[in-house]
Amino acid sequence: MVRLTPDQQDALQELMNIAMGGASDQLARFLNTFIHLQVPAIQVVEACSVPEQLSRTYIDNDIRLVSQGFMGSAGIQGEAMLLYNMASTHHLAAILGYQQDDTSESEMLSDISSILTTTFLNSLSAQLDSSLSYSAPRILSCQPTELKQRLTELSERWTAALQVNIHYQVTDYAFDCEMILLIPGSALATLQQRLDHILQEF
Amino acid sequence: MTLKALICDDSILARKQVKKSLPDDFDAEILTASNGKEALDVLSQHEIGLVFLDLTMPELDGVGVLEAIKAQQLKCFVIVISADIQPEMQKRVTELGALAFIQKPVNSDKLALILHQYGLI
Repeated sequence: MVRLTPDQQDALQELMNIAMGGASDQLARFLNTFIHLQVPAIQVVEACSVPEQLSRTYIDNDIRLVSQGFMGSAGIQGEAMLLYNMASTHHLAAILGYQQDDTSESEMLSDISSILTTTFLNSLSAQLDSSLSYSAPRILSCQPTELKQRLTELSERWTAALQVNIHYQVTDYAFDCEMILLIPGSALATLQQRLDHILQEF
Repeated sequence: MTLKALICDDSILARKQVKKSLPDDFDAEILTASNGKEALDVLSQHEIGLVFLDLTMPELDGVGVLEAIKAQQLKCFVIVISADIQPEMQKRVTELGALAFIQKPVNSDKLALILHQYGLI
């Protein structure tokens, strides 16, 4: 398993911060509020370790999983997963005026996921001199017992996972979600090359 | 006397980017800090004329630094260089006395323009 060097980790963290800033600005406009940004914790792990780890973390939570494929030049491709903790997401639904039924919930999750995933990844890929196209977001219902199975199905195809913990503190409530970018080994190698290139420039 | 400038950012890459984006004719001694607390330490020990300040940082964030600078009535210019581009944040830092706001990744032309505008070159 390839590991990022400390310099690569620092550079990726900074690129992610910039991407997160853009995504948060879009989300703040959508929610018509102000978002307190925090430094997102990022780490590169093996894709096969994701299902076990996340199903353990979220064992007692009401979770929704939204998944969206992305594809770009130079072998950059993967699957962006967003995990929502519904306990905090219900506040968001109320503020946005979504009704408490399944159709509206999936509508809301699609809307938020599109903003978060596409804005975030567009900014990240632009900084890496690439551009991406996306498939439509899919909402995978998951009862606590199903989460591990779903995650296993999703992560089987990939080698590495970039885990990004996002905590949004909106003016009077908090909203947590976790973004996991599943990527093949070739994309990780491309990513490292691009990071080295950026590091050489400065 | 040479101007002392402080670059405060938690990212090594970002600090390097700012340093490298400074115009050639910008004559200053450059100090660095990797979070807001470190920045306040440097500000208390050196006569800093200009701060390039990131906002989203561990320990103490950029808004905290601006508040401290204001409370201690320190005489230094602050240019915010941040990824947090929400209009309300730009308004907030301007109200706290920041001279200018530059969106990350820092653009050397914009940086030069602002330094010229405020007579720092």
